[in-house]
Amino acid sequence: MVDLTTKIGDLTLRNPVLTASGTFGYGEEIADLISLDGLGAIICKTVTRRPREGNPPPRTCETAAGMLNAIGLQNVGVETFIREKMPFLRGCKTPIVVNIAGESVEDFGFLCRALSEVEGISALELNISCPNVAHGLDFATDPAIAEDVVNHARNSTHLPVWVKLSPNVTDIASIARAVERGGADALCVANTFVGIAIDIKRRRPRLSNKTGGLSGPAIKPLALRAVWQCAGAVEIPIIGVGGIATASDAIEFLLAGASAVQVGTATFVQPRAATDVAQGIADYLEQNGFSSPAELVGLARP
Amino acid sequence: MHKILPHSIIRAAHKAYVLEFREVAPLHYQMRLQSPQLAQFAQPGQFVHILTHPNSESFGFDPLLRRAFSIMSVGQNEISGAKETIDILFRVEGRGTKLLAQSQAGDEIDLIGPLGRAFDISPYGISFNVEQSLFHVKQSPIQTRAVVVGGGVGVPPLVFLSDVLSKSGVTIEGIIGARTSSEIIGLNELNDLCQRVSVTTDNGSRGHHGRVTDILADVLNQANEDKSILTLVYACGPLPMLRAVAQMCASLGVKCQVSMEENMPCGIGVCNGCVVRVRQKDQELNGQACSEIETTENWSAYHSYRRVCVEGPACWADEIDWEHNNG
Repeated sequence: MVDLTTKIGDLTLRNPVLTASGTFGYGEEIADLISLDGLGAIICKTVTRRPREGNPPPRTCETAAGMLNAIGLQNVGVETFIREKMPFLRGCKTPIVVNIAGESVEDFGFLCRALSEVEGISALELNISCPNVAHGLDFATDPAIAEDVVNHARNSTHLPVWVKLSPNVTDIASIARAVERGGADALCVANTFVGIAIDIKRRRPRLSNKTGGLSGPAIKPLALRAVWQCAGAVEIPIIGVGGIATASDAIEFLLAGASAVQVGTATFVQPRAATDVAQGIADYLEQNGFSSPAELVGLARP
Repeated sequence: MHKILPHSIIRAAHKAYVLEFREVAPLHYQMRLQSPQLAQFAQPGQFVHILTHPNSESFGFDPLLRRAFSIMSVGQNEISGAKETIDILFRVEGRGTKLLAQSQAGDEIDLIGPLGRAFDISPYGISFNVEQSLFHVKQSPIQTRAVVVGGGVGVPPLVFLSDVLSKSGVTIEGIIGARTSSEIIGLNELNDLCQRVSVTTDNGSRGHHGRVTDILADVLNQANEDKSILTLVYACGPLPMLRAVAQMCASLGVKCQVSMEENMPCGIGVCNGCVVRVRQKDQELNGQACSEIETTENWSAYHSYRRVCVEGPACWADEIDWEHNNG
């Protein structure tokens, strides 16, 4: 009998498939199209201390088996998020993980404290890796700064602290170790890869921000390698994210050492993608004589 | 100020069957899809989001994203009268539409819809009754007129709109612009629904040699002579055309709605990708929130972008920041 129940630290999820931040809004935008009860957890669109208007259009363009985006962390700000978005999320039967981003170490501390007092939040995901804002990548590219910001967040909340790493670094394993030292409860590996697309008719970049984050099936092998590297570097759980569209994609990430996965861009293609992936993992476990996803974690590692 | 246009009411994922599929002009295809649930709730200006191949996974997810198509018409069962089909019309532009152009009658299509905000036709006293799937019109003593302005593949949603308006007694004036005579879309359909249809082409191969706004100027100046007739303009087409139509309507004091377009990854409002810049803060979306928070200025800034997929495609033209939307 297969049981998909997955533990990330002390947090218990009904299955190992979560929605990636920025691809699921605040849940309510999509709740009429799919059942939110089939998800392991909902990770909300990044929330910042103050509202952000985001980047001018065009913000997105499709590329081979993927897409570039430079939304620029458009969001309503933490106050409005708590007042207007949390009541819906609190009513879901699915754990809610709030993704937060700050412009400074203090911002992260402020957001952690503010959200710790809010009922209905199961964990915080620190976005130290957004490629589309001025200083978005600063926290994720230097191990000492990454450790500091995580440590600050750790000391500002009782909630589990997950940290979403950037793949746009020379040595992701060294960042992973620093983040673990800082007190993170889990790593989310990884974020989008910085890319660019140029319109050859206008001879200008396609995105107003010029560069954007590449996501979708195109980045899956790259994200998988990042998970592989981090899994060899830290003891804390890893949540794999990057290009996962099918159950077999997700199983690859589990075999590489991830304890759970996030489905992102695939939700744009198929709103029920995450629940389909969860069902597909159950089928695979059943067919191959496993009883839980945890039995797959790291199996491909030597 | 105008209210934000009425919300899309019922949207869902559907499997629809291709009933008819034909090339209506070089590289332009019209597809009739059997989908009663969708047809029942569709309103003019709304769109469907289509997977251009039946099984994304087997194609290695390339092309990746769905493609958005305006609903051109809703078809009824000849015997029962129930709404059962929708038509879309598209031009082959890239790999997604190229794949879709290989469709055949009987194929199953994965689509989500109806999506987005419809054109606002409430100024004419027309409302959509969801339970009955019918458009109701409150009879009014004043005469009503609509000018529909379509450029290229922007014409299809105006055909659906004209159908609903004409059945409600609104007199319609049509203006269609295209690059060449071979790319004039929807002329037969609009001829059946409009009092008059004018055609313009960029190269003069048919109709007026010039732009749709050349004709629109005459039409609106005539309309302005008789102020007792309620006149609204509805436009869909390339951004420069929409901008020119919006400017002309603003200068002549005629209310205008436009159907906006932007690269649209999700189509359902979760990604914030397909935004256009709007001029003033969206008070309707803000509700009471604006005054309650300290950073009022930032808050309004958040709302200076509007998602085309859920707060559009139909927008009042005077709400769009035409200077800062390029294209």
